[in-house]
Amino acid sequence: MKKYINIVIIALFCVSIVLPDVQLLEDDAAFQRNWINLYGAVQKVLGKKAIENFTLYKTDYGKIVEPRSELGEDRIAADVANIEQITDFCAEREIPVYYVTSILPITEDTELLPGVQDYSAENASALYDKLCEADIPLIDLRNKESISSIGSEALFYRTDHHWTVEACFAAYQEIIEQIEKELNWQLDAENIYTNRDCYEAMTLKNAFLGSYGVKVGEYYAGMDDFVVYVPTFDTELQFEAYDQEHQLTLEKSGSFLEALMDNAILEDGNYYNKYNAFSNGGYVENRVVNHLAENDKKVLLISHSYGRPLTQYLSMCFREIRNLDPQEGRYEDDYLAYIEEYQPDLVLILTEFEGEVVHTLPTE
Amino acid sequence: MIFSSTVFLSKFLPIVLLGSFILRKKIKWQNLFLLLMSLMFYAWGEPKYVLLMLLSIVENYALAILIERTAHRRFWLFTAVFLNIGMLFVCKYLNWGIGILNRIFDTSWQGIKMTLPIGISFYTFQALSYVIDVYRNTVPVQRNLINVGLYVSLFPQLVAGPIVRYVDIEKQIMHRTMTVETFAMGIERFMIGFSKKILLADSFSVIADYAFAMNLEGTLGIAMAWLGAIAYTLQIYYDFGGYSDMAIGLGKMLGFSFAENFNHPYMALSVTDFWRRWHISLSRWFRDYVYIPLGGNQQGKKKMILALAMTWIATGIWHGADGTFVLWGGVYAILIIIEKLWKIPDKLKDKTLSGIFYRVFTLVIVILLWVIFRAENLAAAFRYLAAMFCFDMQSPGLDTWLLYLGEYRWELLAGVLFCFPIGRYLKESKYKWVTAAALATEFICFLIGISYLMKGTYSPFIYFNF
Repeated sequence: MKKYINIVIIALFCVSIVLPDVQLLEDDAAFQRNWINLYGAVQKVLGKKAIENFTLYKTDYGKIVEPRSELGEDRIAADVANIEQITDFCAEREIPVYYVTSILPITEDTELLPGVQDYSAENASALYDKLCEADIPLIDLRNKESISSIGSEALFYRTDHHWTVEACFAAYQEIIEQIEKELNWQLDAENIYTNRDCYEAMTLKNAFLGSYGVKVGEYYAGMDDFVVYVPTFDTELQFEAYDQEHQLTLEKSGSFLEALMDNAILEDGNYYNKYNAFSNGGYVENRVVNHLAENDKKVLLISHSYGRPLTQYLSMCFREIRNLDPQEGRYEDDYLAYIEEYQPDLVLILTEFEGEVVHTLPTE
Repeated sequence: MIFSSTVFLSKFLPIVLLGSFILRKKIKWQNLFLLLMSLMFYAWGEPKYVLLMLLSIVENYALAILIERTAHRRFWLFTAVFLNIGMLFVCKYLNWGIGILNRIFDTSWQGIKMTLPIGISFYTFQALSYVIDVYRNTVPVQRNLINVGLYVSLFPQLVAGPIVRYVDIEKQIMHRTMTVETFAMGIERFMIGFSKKILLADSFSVIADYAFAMNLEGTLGIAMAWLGAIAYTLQIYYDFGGYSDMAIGLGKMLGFSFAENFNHPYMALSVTDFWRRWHISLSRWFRDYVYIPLGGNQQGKKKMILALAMTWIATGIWHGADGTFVLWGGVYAILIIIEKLWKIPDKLKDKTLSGIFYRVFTLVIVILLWVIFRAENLAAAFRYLAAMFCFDMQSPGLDTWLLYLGEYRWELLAGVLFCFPIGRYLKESKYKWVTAAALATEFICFLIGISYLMKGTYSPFIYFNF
């Protein structure tokens, strides 16, 4: 009997030690996920709320959040100076420009573990004050009723750092409303493009595991529903994505879903980062032309990855929108030169992430 | 290469086990194969220092033959000691010595630019033990260079011990067998060590690292100071103990039998007893090759005190080139001298209450001395100790303490429980279902450990630094 037990031990051990190698050889993402799922399941059983060496925390409503450290005054002043350079440049050319503040996943209501401190609200507030001091036109999303009424558990994905489509759409409505009011532009005269009722929610149940979730697996983090608001009105769009060398990497045209969303990602049950379906996963420069637009306005949206779904919805109200991502390793050329060449009718800047402006904007 | 890495587990180990199995009936070829694989294991990541190890192998092989063949045995022994200790000194202590001289004489002599070769303290001591044993006629000289090379470089215990003495392994080099039973025993031992390292030691390192970082920032409060110190006490045990378990397990898989290196040290009755249970192979090495040659306890109290002081300061310095290690070894020297002079362990044998008190006292002393051992320098060590006793009036830091205690409560509980021989009781239970459950738990923990590894949460072994 003992001999057979020993043989079983040897066999199980041999299988265990070659398992990681089989995975590496086959580069099988699903296989890798199984290990992470096991790891996450153990963390769940152990009742852990802190993950990734105390950088991420699970809140009482199941969302994973990343508390932010305090940014110094110098850092904030430098960020504002960079933004000011763009707004001054646009002002000289009489191009309207708005800085869009970010909404925060950690609020006063979020219960963090004792000893965990988050400074995102303080940072965002200090940044806001500096932006006001510099007279930079703002679209302040932080205190908008339409956004706060969504509830903090629905503003962001539980497993990801991005805002949900619900939050993004509310922000889109607020942005268009303020632009119409302040610039006296007619962007949605018949209340179609910004009307939620003119969109149908396409929901992929338990399909999305975001950037936080992939670190601990689905048993720990759970899975998010992935929702896209799809226009019920006619759309005819052209999408182009460019890389860092300004080479066209993707060109698509058709309806909202056909042109703007990566449907292969949406349909692939083994691909969990569904957020990459927005703007066809383009992460350097995306351009959308709306052939059915009721105006001929051109918008430049300088935005981190929050801008990908936002670009899609903003494109409903403009003839053309271009989205540049200023994050490191993405669009790293001269933004002022781009504005000079493109001559947009409007510039929107959404570069703040949880109180912190991502990557310094390169300028002339 | 480290045991807790996917490249070791899923590539190196299967190749070694398969190769050794194929060559199991041809021991000379198996030795050559194991030597080559051990050199590859060592060269992985830092190939240049394998030359240093090869030099050590050839040098000690030749010197042992010279000791045996020539009339100048003592001369060749001193040459061997000089060369081995000299190499260790240059690699590990030269820059430290230059730094001290620069501070004393206000000079600016430049040190040598080199990183510490991994495991040099371990394999140098092993090589020395071989030459000294040949000199003492305890073992016959080994005429086969491959066998000497295998003894010095055998990968399971190469970089972090246990320090295997040639006398203990001499016969196994030419006569060993790989059986299903020892192989399975080796697997079990390896899995236990792997789990200790990945699931426990690496968890405790998160707490300890944070506490020591807080100490450097000057924000460490009393609660977190104690938690950090206890976490480091557990970390170093499960880290080094886990490595030793893996080394012994790998040895068993290959047909070797290495001596135990730990015996539940935190259950020690006294400081002397602690060192009979902690890093046993190092204590034995210093006893046999330093303490006894210095006179031991056979030549009067004064000589014994001197021998103990020198042995323990040498033990401290062996661990690292810094004042913290000298102080750490020095305090152990004082405590062990006091225990020897007052025969404390013997006096406490039959006294329950004072025995328990002294056990607790020993454990607290061990924890405090680990703080000195872990600290970045002496000033940081004293600052940490002050925080533990609230001398610097920092805020207690209860929030951070609660956070880390809460997050690692199960690991800490398991860490404390497994300081006692629970595993042994379970394995030796008369109920078969208990032993079966223990075996299943080992496997589950091993698989969970692999998942941690795949997640990338491992950290290098502490004793690699020595």
